Amino acid sequence: MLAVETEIQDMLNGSLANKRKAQEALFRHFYGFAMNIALRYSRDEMDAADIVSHAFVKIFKSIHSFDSTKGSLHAWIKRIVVNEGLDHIKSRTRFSENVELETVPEPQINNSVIEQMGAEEIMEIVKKLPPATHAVFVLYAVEGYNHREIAEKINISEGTSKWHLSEARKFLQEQIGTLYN
Amino acid sequence: MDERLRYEQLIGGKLQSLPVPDMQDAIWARIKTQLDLDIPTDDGDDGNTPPSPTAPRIIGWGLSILIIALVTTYFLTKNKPSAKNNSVQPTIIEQTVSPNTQNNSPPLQKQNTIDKTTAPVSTGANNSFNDIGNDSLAQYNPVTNVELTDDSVRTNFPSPSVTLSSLQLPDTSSIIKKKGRGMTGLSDSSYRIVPKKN
Repeated sequence: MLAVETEIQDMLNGSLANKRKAQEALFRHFYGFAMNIALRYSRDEMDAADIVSHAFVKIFKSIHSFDSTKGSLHAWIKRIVVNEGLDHIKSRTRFSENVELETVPEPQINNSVIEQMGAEEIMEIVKKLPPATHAVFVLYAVEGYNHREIAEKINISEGTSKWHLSEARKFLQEQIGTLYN
Repeated sequence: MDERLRYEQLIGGKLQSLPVPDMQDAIWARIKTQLDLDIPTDDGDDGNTPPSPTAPRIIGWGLSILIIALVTTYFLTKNKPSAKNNSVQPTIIEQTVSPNTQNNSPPLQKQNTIDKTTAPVSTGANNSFNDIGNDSLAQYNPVTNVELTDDSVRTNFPSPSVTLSSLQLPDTSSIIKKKGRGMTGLSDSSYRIVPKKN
C-alpha cells in the first residue's frame, strides 16, 4: 500500500471514529477535488463554498455507509458533491420542461478555438446558461453521464435532457462564435 | 447521441482544471460548526486550542464578588429604616413629654410654683383628662414623666408635632394609675378636734 493510501485510510478510520482532526485532514486532502466539482455547478465561489461545506457535512455524517469494495473514496465523494451541486441548482430553478427532443443537432464549433480558451473563460460562458441547461451540459460534457443517467439523476425524461443539451450547444456556438469572429 | 463531441471533451478537460480559490479554513470552520451541532465529538479532540484554565476561575471570582455585593446591599437597605426610627423617637419624647427639656413651656413654670406649695393632689371633680387645664396638667407632670418613658407609650405617639395638651394625656390614660385619696378607712370625723375633757 502506498504512503498516500495509508494516510487516506488513517483519515478515514479517524473520521469513522468521529475524530475532528482526522475529519479536517480528510477535508483538506479532498478540498481541491471537491471544490473543482462544486465550481462547475455554481454561479460564483460563494455558491461553491456552500456546496462543498454541505457535501462534507453529509460525507462525515454518512461515512459509515462508504464501502471500499464498491468503489473508490474519490468516486464516493464526487457523487456526493455532484448531488449537492444539483440540489443547489434545483433550489433556484425547475428542471421539468414540456419540451423533449429525440435527437440533438450537432453544432458547428471550431475545436481550435476551444483549445485556445482558458478554463475560466469557458466557465464564464457556461455560467450564462440557464441553471437547468447548465447542469445538464456539465453532467453530460464534463462528468460523462449519458442521458439516461442524467434523467435518473435529476428526475427528468431523457428527451428533456436532450433538449437541454441541444439548447446548451446552440448557446455555446453563438457565444464562442461571437467571441472569435 | 450519447457520444460526446470533440469540443465537449475539450471543454470537459478545461473545466476540470479550474483554479480553486483558497477558502479551506473558512469552509472547514462552517463544516466543524455544523458537525459540532449534529455529531458532537466526545474525545475532546476538536482541533481547537483548549480554553484557558483561568477563565472559569475569573468567572467564579466575579460571581462571588457579585453575590457578596448583593447581600451587603440587601442588609444595608434592610437596616436603614430601623436605624432612622431609633434616632428619631427619643427626640420626639424629649420634645413632647419631658418637662425638663422644655424650659419655655408654661407647664414647667407652673410645676415649680406648685411644688413649693403643698396643694392637694386633686380637686376631686375632674377625673377626666380631657377636661384638665394647664394647671391641673402640671400636677400630673411627675406621673406622666415616669410613665411615658415606657416603650409601649413611646410607640403610641403619632408624630413629633403633637402638642402636650392634646396628645399624651388621652393616650396615656390607660396606663396612668390614679393616685388614691389618702388612707383608706379614715373619714372626716377621724380628724375632728375634740376639746379635751377634764
